Amino acid sequence: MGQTDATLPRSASAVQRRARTPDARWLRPYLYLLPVFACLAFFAYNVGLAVYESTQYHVLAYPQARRFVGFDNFARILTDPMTALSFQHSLVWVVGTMLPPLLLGLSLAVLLNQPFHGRALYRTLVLSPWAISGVVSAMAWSWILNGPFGVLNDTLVRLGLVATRHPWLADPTTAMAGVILASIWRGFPFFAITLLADLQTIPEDVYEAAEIDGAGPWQRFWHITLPMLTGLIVLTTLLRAIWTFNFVENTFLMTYGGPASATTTWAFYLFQVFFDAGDIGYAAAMGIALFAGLIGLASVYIRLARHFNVERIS
Amino acid sequence: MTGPRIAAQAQRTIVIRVPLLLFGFFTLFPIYWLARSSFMTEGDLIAVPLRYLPLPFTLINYQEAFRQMNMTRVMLNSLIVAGALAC
Repeated sequence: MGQTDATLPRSASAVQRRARTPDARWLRPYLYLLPVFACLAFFAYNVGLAVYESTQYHVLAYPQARRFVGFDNFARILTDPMTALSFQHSLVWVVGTMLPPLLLGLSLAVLLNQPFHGRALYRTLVLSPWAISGVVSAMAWSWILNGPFGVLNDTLVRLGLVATRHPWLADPTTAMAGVILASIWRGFPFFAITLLADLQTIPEDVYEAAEIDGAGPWQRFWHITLPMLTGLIVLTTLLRAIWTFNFVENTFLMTYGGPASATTTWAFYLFQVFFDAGDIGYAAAMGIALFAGLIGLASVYIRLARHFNVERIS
Repeated sequence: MTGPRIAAQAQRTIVIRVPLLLFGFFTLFPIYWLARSSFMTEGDLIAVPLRYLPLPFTLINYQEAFRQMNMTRVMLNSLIVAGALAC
C-alpha cells in the first residue's frame, strides 16, 4: 500500500494532475499489459527453474549429493545410449502418428464433402473418436490388441488369415505399431474436421468451370482441391508434429515404453528419467534440449503460417 | 441412357459408399467393443470362444463403478478442470 501511495500524486489539484499527464502517458499501455507480463513471468519462472535444475546433479534418492555440475547433464545426453534409440522411436512415432491420419483425414474430408443421405449423422458418428477420452481409447485398444482375448486376433483366426494369436503389444516388433494404431484412430478425425472446414471454403464455381473444361474427378482433386488445401495441410501437420512429439499418454497407458524399450520415445524417456529414476537434473537437461528442438519447429511453423496467409490474401 | 447411368451409379457406390462404410467401421467398432465389454462380467470377457454380443447382459460394472467412486465429486472435478482450461 505504501508503495502505491508514493507513486500517486499526493494532492488532487488539477494543476498537478495536468503536469503529471505527459509523464504518465507512456506508462499506460504497460499497465494494460500487466496481466500479460504476469503470465510471462509465470512461464519464465518454470523455464528458469528447468534451466537451473539442468546445471545440477539432482537425484531424489541422493539428496546429499546435490551439487552444481555445469553442462554435465547435457554431455550425458550425448553419451546416453538411450538417446539415439528413443529419438529413433520418436521419429517413427511422429511419422506413424502423422502421415496415416493425414491421408485418412484428407480422404474422409473429401468424402464428407460429397452429398449423400444421412450425411449429418455420419459426420457426427465418424468424428466421435476425437471426443473420446485418451485414457478410454488407450484402454479400449489395449484390450482389442490383447493376445489371447483380443478381438483383432479372434477375428483374424476366425477368418483363417493367421494360425496363432499374436500378442501385438507384448512383441517388441509390433508394439509400436499397436500404440500408433490407437493414436491414428483418435487422431484422424482432427485432420478430417480441419480439412473439411477448409474444403468448404473452396468456391463451387471453380469446380464447375473445371468440369466444363473437361476435367475429371481426379484432375479436379489434383489441380484444385489439393493446391487449395496445401497451406492448411502443412500447418496442421507441423502443429500436430509438435504435439505428437511431446505426447506420452498412449505409451504410458498401453506399453509403458516396453517391451524392452521398444516403444520408449524421447518424451517418454524423459518422463521415466524424471518420475521413475527421480533424476531431476538430467530430466531438466533433456527437457531443455527437447524445448530447443521444438522451438525450431515452431519457428518454421510461424514462418510458413505467414507465408501461406500472404499467398491466400493476394 | 440407362446403361451409362447405372454404371455411374455403380461407380459412385464403390467410390463413396464403400470407403464410408470402412471409415464407419474403423471408428465405431472400438466404441462398440468398449460398450459391449462394459455389459459383461470379467469371466464372460475371457470366455472362449470370444462373444461378439454382450451376453449374458449385466449392469454390474456400472453399479461397481458408482459404488467405488464418488461420482458427483469426480464429475465436479472434471467440470472445474474443463472450466479452468476454457477461461
